[in-house]
Amino acid sequence: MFGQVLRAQWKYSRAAVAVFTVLCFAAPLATVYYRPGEVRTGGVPVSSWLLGAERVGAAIPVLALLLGVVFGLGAWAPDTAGRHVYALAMPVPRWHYVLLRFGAGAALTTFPVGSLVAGCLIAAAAVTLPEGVHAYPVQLGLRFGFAVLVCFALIFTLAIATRRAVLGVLGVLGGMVMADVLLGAAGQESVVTETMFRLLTTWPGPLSILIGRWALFDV
Amino acid sequence: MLAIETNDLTYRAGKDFELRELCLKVREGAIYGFLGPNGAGKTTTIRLLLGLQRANSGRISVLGHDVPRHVHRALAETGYVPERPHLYPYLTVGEAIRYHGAFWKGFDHGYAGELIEMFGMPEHQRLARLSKGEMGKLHMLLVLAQRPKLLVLDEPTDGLDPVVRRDVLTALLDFCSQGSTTVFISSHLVHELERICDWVGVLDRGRLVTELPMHSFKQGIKRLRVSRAPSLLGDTPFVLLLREQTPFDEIWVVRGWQAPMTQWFEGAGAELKEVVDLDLEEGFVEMLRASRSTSGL
Amino acid sequence: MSRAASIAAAALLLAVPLAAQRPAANRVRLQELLTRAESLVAADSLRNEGERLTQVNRRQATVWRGRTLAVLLWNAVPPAPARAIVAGAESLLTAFAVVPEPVQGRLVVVQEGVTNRAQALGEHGLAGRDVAVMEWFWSDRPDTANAAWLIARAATRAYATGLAPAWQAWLKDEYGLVWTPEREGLAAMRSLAETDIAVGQACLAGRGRSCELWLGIDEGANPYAERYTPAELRRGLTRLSWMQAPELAACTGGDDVACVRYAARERAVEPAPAPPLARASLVRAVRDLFGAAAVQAAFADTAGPLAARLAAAAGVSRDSLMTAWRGWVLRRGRPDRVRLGAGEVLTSVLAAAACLALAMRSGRWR
Repeated sequence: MFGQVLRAQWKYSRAAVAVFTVLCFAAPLATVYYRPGEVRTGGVPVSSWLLGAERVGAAIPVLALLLGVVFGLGAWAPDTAGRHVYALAMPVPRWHYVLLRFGAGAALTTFPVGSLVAGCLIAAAAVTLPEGVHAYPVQLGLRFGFAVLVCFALIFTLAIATRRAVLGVLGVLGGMVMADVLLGAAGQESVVTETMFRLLTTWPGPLSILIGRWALFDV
Repeated sequence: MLAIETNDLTYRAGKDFELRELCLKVREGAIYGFLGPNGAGKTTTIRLLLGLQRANSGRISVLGHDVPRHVHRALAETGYVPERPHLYPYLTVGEAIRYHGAFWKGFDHGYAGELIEMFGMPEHQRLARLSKGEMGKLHMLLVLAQRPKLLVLDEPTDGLDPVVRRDVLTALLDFCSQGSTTVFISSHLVHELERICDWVGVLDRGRLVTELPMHSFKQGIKRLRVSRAPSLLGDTPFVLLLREQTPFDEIWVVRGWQAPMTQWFEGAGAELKEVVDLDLEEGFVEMLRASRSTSGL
Repeated sequence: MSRAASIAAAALLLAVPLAAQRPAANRVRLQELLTRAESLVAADSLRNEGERLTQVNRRQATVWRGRTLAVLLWNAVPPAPARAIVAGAESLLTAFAVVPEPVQGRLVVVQEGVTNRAQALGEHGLAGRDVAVMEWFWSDRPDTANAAWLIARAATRAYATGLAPAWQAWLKDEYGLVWTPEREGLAAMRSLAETDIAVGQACLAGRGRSCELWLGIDEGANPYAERYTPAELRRGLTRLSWMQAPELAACTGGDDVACVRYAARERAVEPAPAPPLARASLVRAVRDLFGAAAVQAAFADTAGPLAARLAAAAGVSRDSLMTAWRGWVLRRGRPDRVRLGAGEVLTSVLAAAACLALAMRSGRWR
């Protein structure tokens, strides 16, 4: 059963898998070749690697978020197009079907995550780092994998939510923004959205994995 | 034993639509035709039976399983063809069959192969490229290959050309002749159901107007032209569905008519001028008219 | 008779308003108005004067003493914040530990704008102390932490004026005292990691004496020739090309020797390529790694290149000193961990599981 769901999901998402696999493989390599001019002139490229690691590293959580959105929505897209009739008419308990879809989508994300790890390992092997500077290919790959998992799970859940639930979430977000506007109008500091953002992104918030250190090369 | 049973099933959607206290009884092994005009609630009833929607009140039992609590058990023995196609368009025919077969334990891949040949389905063609007729055949192929105890077909031949329609119905009848599968088929094409169904239920504006054997439905509805009929009739040997005044006579639509009943008119002092046979479609229309007039609609 | 009485009554009736407009009554009224106006003007003047006196009073000083420091703050600063400010400043100086306590004890920090400085110093026996001015204005929403930092910085700068010219020229205004060590550490790291000067990049790569060259603490016999490449010098001098100097024109035209000569003569480019922030990080590194006494000993040393002074005070070789500093900068500049912690893993897994549980309970699917 899971095999068939995975095959069907693969057939639907294979273009996205291919694109993200290539992007994720290229990102760590871009760290190494960030300022190629410097390497060509014989300059010491360590600063460019560190700078590249920082600049490219800032893009990697964005990549994780995009992956989560595309694959999370893609997990339900075929059923959404048919208004979930086919899925609801399946002779499996519904929580089982949700699990099948989640597993299939999550399994497909291992391709881009694996390609990022491969890219990191190749990039780390391609350079000779001076003392005091290290490469963290596995750490970066693991962080990326968990970030993708969190983003995928979040979007997967939102994609299957009822209209009422989505409106509820939007209502809460809108309420926070409105509260800040009212506080600002009253001359007070607008802290509601900032506080919520901090709670979500600071450990143990669920999105704290995204706000970490995303450097392939570091001290 | 009943394959499908509902008790006081009620469902409301918005202000205009309501299924009211629906009490369906579909016997095991029957081929039950669910008739009704567009918008009567046929598709909604089917969706409630299969747990795709939740009723406001009432009880539903499908193959002895309570819906929606054990709906997946009922679905394991049910083949469902919906009104609109719902398969994944990016799969090929072969892939769709394998995907579908993975979910039903008793799926007969051999029989599916026979049906592919019989229907002439292109196995490597993507579903998005199939014609409407081919898609209709594929749906029927999938549910028949499940070897289900219950088939629920929601307007399965709607929009299909006569050749395809014949193929689909032939396959259905062949399948039914092999076992005691119950078929619940909804349609507004009365003449089509006439050929295959042995029971009929008529739904109109959310209410079950009648539920009776097909032969009674076909044979028993007549249109009578009567003159000098008394205003108060008392007991009649037939069921008077409709009584309309014309300038010279009255037109009666009755159910359960038999020839010896002409004598009743003599006893009532009325004159029976004409008895008109109605075919199934005309009978269906008259029944609806009668139903709407008695309910004040 | 009745007619006369009517005329008389009319006359009387007319007489009342006419009498009210008599010049004499007007004059009295006018006088009253003038008096009132004068009194208002006088009151306004008094108020202005009062405000002026209040301002003057606000800016008169009150002396606040800590354990070692003496600080003159405006009268406008209430006692509780003032005590907190002085305590905060002493705490910063203690943490920095480079400014010796006797030096602090000889110092008085005066808030800018104090109007009775001499009088206040005299009254409290502080007349002979060295004065350091703190630029800070009291407002309705005071920032005591900022004020404490400014006092500590003023004290540090006052101490630095007693250092040898070589130290003052090298450190500029950055003496190593920082308010936010984490941010300053990161800034120092970034300046090293992002430098486009060849010796800086070589320093980052850990090569030889390049760190000394970048920091500008080597012998410095010919800094512009040893610490910069001609292209780097030219790049730095090109921004001055608007100045009509033949040697500068020769430099921008490709004459490397002209670039070195012009830069050395005009000091148009900093002798030390590293920014003051990075240079100050060396002071902090020595303090952290070898103790405040090493910094004080280095500052007291007036002979030889700065690298030799620091290394001698720390008791290590120059190469070891640079290695230690480089490692310190790289470590301090990265307060966040790259390694994934168990807590982050657990939180991520739990978050994903919670989302999945919600999906399975979704109203569409129940």
